[in-house]
Amino acid sequence: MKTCFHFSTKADIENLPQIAGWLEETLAGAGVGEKDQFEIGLAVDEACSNIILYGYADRSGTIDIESCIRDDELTVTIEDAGKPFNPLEVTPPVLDADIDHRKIGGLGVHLIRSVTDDLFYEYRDGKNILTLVKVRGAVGCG
Amino acid sequence: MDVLKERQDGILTIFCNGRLDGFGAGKLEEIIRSSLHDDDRSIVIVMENVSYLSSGGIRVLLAYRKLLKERNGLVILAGVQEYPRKVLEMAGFTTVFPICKTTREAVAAAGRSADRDDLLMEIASPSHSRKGMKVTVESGSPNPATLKFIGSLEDVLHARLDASHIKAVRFSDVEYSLGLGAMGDGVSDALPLLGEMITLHGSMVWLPTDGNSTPDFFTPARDTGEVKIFTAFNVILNGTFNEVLSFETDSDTGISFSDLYREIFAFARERKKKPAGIVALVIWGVLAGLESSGIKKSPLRTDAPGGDRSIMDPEFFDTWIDHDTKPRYRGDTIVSFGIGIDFASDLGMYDPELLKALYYINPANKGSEQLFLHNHGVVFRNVPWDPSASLNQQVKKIVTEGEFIDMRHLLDSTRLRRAKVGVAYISGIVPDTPLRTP
Repeated sequence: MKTCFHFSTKADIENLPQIAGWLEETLAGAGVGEKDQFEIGLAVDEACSNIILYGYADRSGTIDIESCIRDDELTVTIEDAGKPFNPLEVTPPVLDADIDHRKIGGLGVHLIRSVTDDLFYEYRDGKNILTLVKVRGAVGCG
Repeated sequence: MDVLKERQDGILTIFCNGRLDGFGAGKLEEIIRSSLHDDDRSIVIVMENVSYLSSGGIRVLLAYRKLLKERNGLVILAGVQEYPRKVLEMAGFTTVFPICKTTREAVAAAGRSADRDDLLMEIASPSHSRKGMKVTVESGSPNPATLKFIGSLEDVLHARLDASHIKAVRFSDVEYSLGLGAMGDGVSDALPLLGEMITLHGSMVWLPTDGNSTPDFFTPARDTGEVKIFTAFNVILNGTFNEVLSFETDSDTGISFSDLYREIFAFARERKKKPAGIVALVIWGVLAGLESSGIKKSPLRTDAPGGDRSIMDPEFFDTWIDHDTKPRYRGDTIVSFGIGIDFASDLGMYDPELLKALYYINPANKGSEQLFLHNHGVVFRNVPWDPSASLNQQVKKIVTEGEFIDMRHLLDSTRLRRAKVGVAYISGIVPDTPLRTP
């Protein structure tokens, strides 16, 4: 069985908590475990932060999110009409650099990769479309 | 997310409540930026009630980790919950921020990181305790210092000035000085704007009496002699420091200028230092609160109160003098220059007529009649307190690189938390021009 939910919001940094709240409610309502909720939530938050801060840095716009829950898998598709940006091309950060050489760039995408099982990106009809896939943990093991 | 700040054992401690995402990160950044004092080294971020952390939150923590590293300080996290800790692990940041279980442990760890540096300083120059202060003394120049002065404070305070009282001085002639002055194309330009001024290492900071109460900071690229300071009264340090005292107070409220001068006079007496009736101090310190008073309009003969009465007379005081006793600029850096006269000391070595040109009684300064102080100070922000830096070098650096905030004539109730103080024991007073006789 597959259940999908849709959410749309203005691409504004203030709306990050709202996106997170919607996602949490949706996933909890469908019986998704806490650990999966947290991990897919982190990926969605990081992806939306990138869209707001970089994709829409010089313009306003909306973010459309669709979250689909299957028995074994979660998928979240995020669409925006900001600058074309393919997160799959981001160079991974150096995680053991000393403090002076630590950079934040690429860290968000690194976190997205760490908590998801698959990522798809395409730029179609003037839109960035990013799909995050997460295999669900055994129910009850949170 | 909600953020709250507190100081625990003097350590800036930020309590976060909610989600530390890209939005919460902005709030965290703002509260740290507005609360960080120039003498803070380590800070504590309490994350007991933080359910979520993203790269946005890590960005702010890392930015302050880098800034505080220059001060030998740390960003210490307390009470990090399960998921935020996982994010730190995934991001490879558990080695960048020390993580303590409780706020108490984190505050103690932050205190220890500061103590270690104090220990190194202590080995370099041993300190002793004095009335709740830790004091160290470095000796300076053995050469006697004098005070040179232009004009007379009495003429200023009786509003007797006209163009004949104004003297033009070069920047290079006034390394450390304070008084009443202005900058402009010429005497007539400067005359109506005369205000509180201070010169520090080739820079002039003054408060034009144009009604805006906004100081002007000027540093000539080179002293070609073309840009001049016009002054009606100026006290100039002629010579250099005979000693540099460093002190740190135990309390957050610090010590007032009057108590600091009193201690310096007492300390000099105990060590039988001579001369010690007049001192000039250059101070680089961290403020616990600045209180100020300053002249509002140029004290020109044409505007003088009738009957040659003083503008400090209670009847005229409020028309002529602004004073602000709300303590300001806590945690910011101050560089000041000023003089103190101890009337309890033997002042026989100074010419009484010359001495009279230097002091007056300001009704806004309550307290001891035994001391007369006159200090002007410049406030800067984001200048890390570095106890190992040399005073002269540091003053130069602050004046050229610091973020300039304000300049004021200081009330003696202005308080300092810690400071390096260049002390010149004044052996004589020298008029720059022959004294005018009434």
